[in-house]
Amino acid sequence: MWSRQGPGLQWCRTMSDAIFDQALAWHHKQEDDDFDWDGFTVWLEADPAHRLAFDEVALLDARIDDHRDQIDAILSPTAQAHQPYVRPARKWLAGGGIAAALALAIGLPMLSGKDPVQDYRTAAGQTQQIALADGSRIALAPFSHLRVAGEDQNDMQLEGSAYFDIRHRPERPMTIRAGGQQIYDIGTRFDILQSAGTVRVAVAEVSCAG
Amino acid sequence: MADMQGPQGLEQIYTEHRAGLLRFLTARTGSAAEAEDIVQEVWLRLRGGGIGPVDNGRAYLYRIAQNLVLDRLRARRRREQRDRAWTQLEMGASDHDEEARDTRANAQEALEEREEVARLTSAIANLPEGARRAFQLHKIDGLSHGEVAERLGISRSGVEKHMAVAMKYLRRALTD
Repeated sequence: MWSRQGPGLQWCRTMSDAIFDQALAWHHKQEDDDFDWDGFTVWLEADPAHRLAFDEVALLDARIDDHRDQIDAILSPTAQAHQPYVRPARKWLAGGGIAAALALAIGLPMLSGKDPVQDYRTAAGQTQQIALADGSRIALAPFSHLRVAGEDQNDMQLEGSAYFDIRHRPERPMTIRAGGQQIYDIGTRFDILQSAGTVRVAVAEVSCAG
Repeated sequence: MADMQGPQGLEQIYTEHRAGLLRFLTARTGSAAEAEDIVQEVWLRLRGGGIGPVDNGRAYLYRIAQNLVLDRLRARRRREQRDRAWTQLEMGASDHDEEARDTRANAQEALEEREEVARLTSAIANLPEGARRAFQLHKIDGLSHGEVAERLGISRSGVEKHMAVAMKYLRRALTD
């Protein structure tokens, strides 16, 4: 009895671990812009356990995101105080050889006044890192203007370009107006690029070469 | 190319990929009915958003859908937590005042949240060095996989391995 039950249990554990590993791999690759949605669909269809494993990974990931600030504060309280983290230059700085003047701005919700508004402006050759109260981060490209309004800082207006790393809050979705378009919070990381009257939204992370 | 896609472009993409999206969502949620609901929601978002040209329209559609699935999952999980908190309170409920119980359910949830943060944080602190650094840079500091690889001087698949180690650690920390 024991000898049959033992290996059986072991086998089950190994199986589910293997599936969890696969789910992790799919989840990891999802950040890429050229993610293989068809392959992912086929994998999900192959076994209902795949879907459940992926749910588990996605929920775990979401829980980490939810607690990002608290975790950050506990893990690096001194690092936070002494050396504010500055994102590396993003792609609009990559090739231009622009001497980037980096500034760190913390946007805090104002307690007085019913319609708090914050304006962030960058000059040519200058970028700005904006941290919102909910942990969302925005990198404003040179020569751009971002207006953040609304009590939850979820109403934005952008002239120019920016990279968004947005905390996804289903109950308070983010709206970004840019060049006459309205872009809804589409999850996590994306770029909005405006030039010559066109607005482009690039979803997912930007693959910076080099 | 991508710049030519107007809002109409997105509608076209939606029409073109609706069947595939439905198939994906059925596989993703395990329910054809839920998949239909979510496809409708995707459509409403596209219509309501008046979204401009998008680089990779299909990926954009799937990503919206995937986020909607996650929203539902999280809502379900929250409901379950809430129910648990309520049930626990009911056990020793001397107050029949709904409001008081609600307040206590909130307190209970806040407590659970704090415990979750504590578990996550200590698990992260105890990760193997490489996994801890990759995790910190990616999940806490918000760097992309490529940026993490560059920062640590390792390959992207190296980052993936570190992240897998970290996620498995954290999963165990939350379930143990």
